[in-house]
Amino acid sequence: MAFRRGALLELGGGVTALAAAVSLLKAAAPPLPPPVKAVQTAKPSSPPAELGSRFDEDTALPAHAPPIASYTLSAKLDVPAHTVHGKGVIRFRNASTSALNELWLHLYLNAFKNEQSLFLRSPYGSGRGGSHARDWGYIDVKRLVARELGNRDLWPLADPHSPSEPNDQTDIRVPLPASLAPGDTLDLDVEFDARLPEIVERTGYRGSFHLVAQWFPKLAKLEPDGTWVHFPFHAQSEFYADYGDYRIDLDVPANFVAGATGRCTQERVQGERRLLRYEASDVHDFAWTAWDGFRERTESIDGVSVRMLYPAGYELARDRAFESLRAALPYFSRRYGRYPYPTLTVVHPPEYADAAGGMEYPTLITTGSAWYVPLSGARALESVTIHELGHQWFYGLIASDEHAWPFLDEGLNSYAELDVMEKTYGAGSLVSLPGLTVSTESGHRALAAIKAQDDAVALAAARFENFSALGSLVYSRTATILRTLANVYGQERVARALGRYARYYRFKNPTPKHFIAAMREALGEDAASTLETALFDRGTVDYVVGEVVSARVSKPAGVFDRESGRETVARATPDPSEHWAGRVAVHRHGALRFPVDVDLYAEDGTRQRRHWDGRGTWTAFDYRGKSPLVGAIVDPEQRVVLDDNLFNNATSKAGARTPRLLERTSYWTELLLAFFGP
Amino acid sequence: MTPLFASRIHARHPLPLACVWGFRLLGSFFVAQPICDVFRGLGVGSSPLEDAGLFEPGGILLVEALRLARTALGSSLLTAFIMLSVLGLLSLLPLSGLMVALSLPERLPRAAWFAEALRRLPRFVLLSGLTLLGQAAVLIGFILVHTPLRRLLGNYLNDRQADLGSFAWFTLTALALSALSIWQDLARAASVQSEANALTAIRHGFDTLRAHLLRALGAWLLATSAAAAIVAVAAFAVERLHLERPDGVRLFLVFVIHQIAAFTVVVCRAGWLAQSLHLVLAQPAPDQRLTD
Repeated sequence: MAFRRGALLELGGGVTALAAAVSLLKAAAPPLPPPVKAVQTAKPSSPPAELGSRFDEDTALPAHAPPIASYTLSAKLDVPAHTVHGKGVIRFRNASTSALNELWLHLYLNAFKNEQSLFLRSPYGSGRGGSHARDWGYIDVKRLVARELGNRDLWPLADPHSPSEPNDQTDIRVPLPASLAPGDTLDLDVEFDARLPEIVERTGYRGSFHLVAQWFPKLAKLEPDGTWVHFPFHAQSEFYADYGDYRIDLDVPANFVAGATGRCTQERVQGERRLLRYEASDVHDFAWTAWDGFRERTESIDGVSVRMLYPAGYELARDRAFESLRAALPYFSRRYGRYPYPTLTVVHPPEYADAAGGMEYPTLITTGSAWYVPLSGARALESVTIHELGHQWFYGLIASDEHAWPFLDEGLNSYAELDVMEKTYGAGSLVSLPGLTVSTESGHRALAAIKAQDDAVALAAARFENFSALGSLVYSRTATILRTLANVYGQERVARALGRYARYYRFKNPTPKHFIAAMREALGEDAASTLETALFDRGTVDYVVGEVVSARVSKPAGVFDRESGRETVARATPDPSEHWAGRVAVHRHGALRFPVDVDLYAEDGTRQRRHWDGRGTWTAFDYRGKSPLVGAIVDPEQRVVLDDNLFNNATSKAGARTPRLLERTSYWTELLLAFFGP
Repeated sequence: MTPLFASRIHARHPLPLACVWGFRLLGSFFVAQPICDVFRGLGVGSSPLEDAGLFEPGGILLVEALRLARTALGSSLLTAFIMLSVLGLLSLLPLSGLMVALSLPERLPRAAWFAEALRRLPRFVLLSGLTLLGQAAVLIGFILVHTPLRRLLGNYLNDRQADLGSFAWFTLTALALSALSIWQDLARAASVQSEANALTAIRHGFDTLRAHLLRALGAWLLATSAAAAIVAVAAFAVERLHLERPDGVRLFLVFVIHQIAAFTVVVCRAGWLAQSLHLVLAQPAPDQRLTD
């Protein structure tokens, strides 16, 4: 079908007409950035033998990402229609080693075009954001003219739908009429109309609030060998793209406040419209927002101009978000290499558009919570703000394939978030109420344990049963695995491993093997092997205290021929030392192995500590002390937070006793009766 | 002017106060025990440190316990709720005893006191049932109005203003629920102070509330706020005892502090009930007015 349309155009002498039209458009289009020399795309083929201590410091950081897909676009927002009219130029460089005969374009807004799209066919009808599509969204490409290929409009040649998906138009192949050689650059004049959906999957409108993401025809990711990584928009998936330079001219109503990826280099009001230019380099996506209800505040944090856009009445939330950013931004820069951009825009959507919250784009993040949440003792706002900020590294600067390996961005970032949350807010990093603190570690541990046996962590996003399973395994289990490694092998060693990984792979596209290699270098073979099993093979671990026995030490009974003559010792003759001897058995269930401490408790209150390297499926510890053994605890400090069940880590001769729980529960019952009873 | 709190409550009525407190304490153990059994069955507390780990900062074992217990806890909490409801019903007897004692200038012999308390019990049950019905109706009204109201306010106000508007509706609802509670106590007081039937007591309660609205509300709020403050102070003190450290003395101290708080809450309630008895006396009963 696409071939026939193209042939007709050729027959109709369309080439000449198109060339003329494109020449006119060229004259009208904003000037392009100068062409860059062809360099190899950033994806590392195999991990280096060693990253080395050089990458403990920022001096080794690359200054820029080689631009492969750059966009110079203008976008005009029609607020009542919720449409964006866009046009401009996509500059693409074949950074692979092969000649290219096709391009792949992602038109992700088409995910919301009809109920037969791959996205809306998902059983739960909503994406990661949780909201359902209530209004259709789509993008119509009007033309895609390749200047270097005879100014020919390639769009009529494009496939009408995604591969094997007749009603999905999110992943479109565009055949090239002539090969694009390695190193060659292609300038594509593009024009499109985007119709935004009511907010779903963190894009769209609600009232006059607009969060405009996945709004333009976006090139898929070109791998070094010339293959394209492209995929239709799946409800559980995120994105993967090449780095480039973006220069976007926004045209919004004059009374609207706008924010976007990058730095605002021009702003002026012309009649009823506000015209803004945003420029960003070394990024792989561009999102923007516009609303007539935004308040704004800008603050410099660690040399970065942080601009917060928030609704009226959210001043407390704004202050809390700034507080969390003041802690996290310098921390992340120190740990994972400095934040290289001059700006960061933080968008707090209004309550009625809360589905737009909790999303990351380069230099623009959305946070979210009701205005009163900071008063509740829950640190949901701080948590989501820090999480999305962390994505500036684990997604933005280390651009792993989010579709194929979501744990590399969401998982590592969840650990980074946990790390900052606990260092900043301590034991109450998740909930802090009088008499009750819950840490982020506890929350992730519990969520990770729920789905521990269900599937591997290192799976493609679309292969998880649902988003709940993805959330539990990719976010929480990865964070819990890394936390366990940090607790067992040392927080600083894990921090060093992640720091080297983050610096070495800045502006690159690492895969799990690169991550595992970085961890192996810093933590050793044992830890790396455990990590691989945990990520790829559904590895679990459960330490269990087995038998605890002890008896008074007796003299050995029987008939002994001594130098002094024959001596018969009766059974149970007390030893003069009056000691007790005993044994504690400890088992390790599951394939993961971590070294642990074991505490042996005696009746007189004394405690003896032993250490087990975790080898084998069980071990036993001998005891000798002045009173009988009454119990034992394996991993008493709960370092192995990955442990499937923490309550079989201890045993006591006295059996299960819960006096504190009984006291607290009955007291609360008394209060219930007092305040709500008759 | 009638004092907000009747004087010398402690000195005159130690036994009725202790009965209310003791009944709640004993009953609460019965409610709490099955919940604790669920946790014990999962291995909680089978450590040489018993269940001290549940109270550690960060709550790793607490969250783990809730995760493991989440299925079993559902049915256990249902049982606890049923037991709590029965306990609530039974607690009307010590409450009746307390109000009888508060209404009399002198102590009665125990048998007579108990008989008087028992005699008022059916009327107390009826009043509790009526109050619960009224409160359920108010709650249903709140639920029906809340969402459309929030949506409507959202069209004209910003999020915070709209939420505060909806919070005002919640406050009104809470006031209505409290007013029903106050009315119930006044009606109970009327039924204790006179031999009137239930209907007369209900009308007397309404009349008293209408005639002495501010005083009744003030006394009730004072008693409730004082009780809440005591509970907060106890929570503050207990937090500093670090129950996560496994020694019996800390647990004993926590128990003592909590029970002092629980007993003081009973005293606060008694203060309000004494006041309600005064207010009812100050308001002529409906039948008296008819006779006059």
